[in-house]
Amino acid sequence: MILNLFNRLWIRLRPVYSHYLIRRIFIGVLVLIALLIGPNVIQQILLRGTLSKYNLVEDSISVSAHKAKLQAEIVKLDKKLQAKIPANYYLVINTAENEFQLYKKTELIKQDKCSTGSYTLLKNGDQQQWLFKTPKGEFRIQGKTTSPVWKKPDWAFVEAGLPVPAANAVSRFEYGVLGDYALSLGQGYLIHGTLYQRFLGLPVTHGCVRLNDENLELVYKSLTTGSKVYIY
Amino acid sequence: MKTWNWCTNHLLLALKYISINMTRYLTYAFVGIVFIFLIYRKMGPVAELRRLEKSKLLDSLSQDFYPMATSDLAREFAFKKELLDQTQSDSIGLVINLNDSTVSINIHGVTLHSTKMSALAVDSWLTRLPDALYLHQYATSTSIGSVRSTIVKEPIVVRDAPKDPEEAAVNAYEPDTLIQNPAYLQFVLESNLQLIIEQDSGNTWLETTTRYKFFSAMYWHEFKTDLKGFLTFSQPSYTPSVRVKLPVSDMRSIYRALPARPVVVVNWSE
Repeated sequence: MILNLFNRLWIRLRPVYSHYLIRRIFIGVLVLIALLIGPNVIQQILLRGTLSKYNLVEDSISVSAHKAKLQAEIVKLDKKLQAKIPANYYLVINTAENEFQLYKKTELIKQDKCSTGSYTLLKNGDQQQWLFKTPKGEFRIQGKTTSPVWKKPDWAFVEAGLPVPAANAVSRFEYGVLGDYALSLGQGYLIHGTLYQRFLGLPVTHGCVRLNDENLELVYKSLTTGSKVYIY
Repeated sequence: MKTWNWCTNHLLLALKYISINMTRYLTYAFVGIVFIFLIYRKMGPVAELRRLEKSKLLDSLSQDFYPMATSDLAREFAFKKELLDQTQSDSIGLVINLNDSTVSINIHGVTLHSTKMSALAVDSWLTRLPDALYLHQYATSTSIGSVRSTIVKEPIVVRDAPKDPEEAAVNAYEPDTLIQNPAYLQFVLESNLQLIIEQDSGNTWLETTTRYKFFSAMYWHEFKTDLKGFLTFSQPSYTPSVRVKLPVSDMRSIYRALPARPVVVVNWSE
């Protein structure tokens, strides 16, 4: 049946095929098909040959014993992984999206906007430079304060185009700009409030994490000294 | 003169004959070389499979440790074991779980960010890989060998200190992180697996051109590597790939969170 079909097709095609140009095109198409399919066919044959030896049938008793052992091991591992999650409150801060999440174990307590480092590299000539970036990783709350006072570092004066005063000059101390509470992450980085609430959700800080008043109070009351803060 | 004409005529005829045949032979040779090169490229997966087999034979530990007929459980066990090992690292690690279609970043066992893939494509070579070889090569945690990306990791803006308060007031600027480029990432892992992460939207002109540039550069690099290997008679190389699509904001968050050489754990079942 199929041979008959091919025979009839060939009788029809033969006059066309005999034409020089058509013959060339036909050969070209055949070569192209061979180029496209040939290497794939060879690849599949070799892969099948290599993979076929892995289709082994194993003893059903040993398989069930293995399964039981593995299931028990997986349960153990799950427990160990669960134990890694802090049991108390912890804070997760996303610096790319300027968002924070407050968790208690796996329960999400609060998710809202915050502000993190602006990634500005401030250059003061060739001598000094500061990168305003929020550090990433795992941190712990080092200390908590109410009504914090901001002791302005040198860059605050350089950035404002002002001369840098002495270390304990009165002009270094600003009251009320950090909100009602501040939580220290160490190395001068704080979680604090802000006067510029319209910038929340934007990367505008000098490395600290800014929250609005309501969120700052919640975070302050939830986290204790030693609580974990994850910044990414 | 007659003899001279005869000679030149026949010489020209001979040259014409040779040039026709030469063109034909050169065409055959070219097609033949292309055919051999294509076969060479297609031998990459076979060569990689044989390389894995060889290295697995040297690694007796993986043979003893994992039972072979309990595929899904063995893979899940290996994955969880690697997750637990990842908790020892002090830097943020990446977890690609193809079973539940999630990409997440963890530190010390705490999931910082997790996102669902909107599309996923795994090389058929990987899905056909026997458990023994999968567990040996891909079930262990690895790190990122090289990265190619269309977005910057740290969008640093350099500013010179103003000379006086007036200049500082004029220097108001928009944060650079608000300028969002289309995101396409390629991570080549040290376990010889490439993760291609694309943003899940891609209809604007900028997105289409960025995508085209990213992928054409990737394929061009692969072609050049293969051609170099072919011309130097070295073994064909092959890096299987996993392609996922993620929401662009999640991609940015994950990419910017990762350190230079993060620990990566990949998991999938057959």
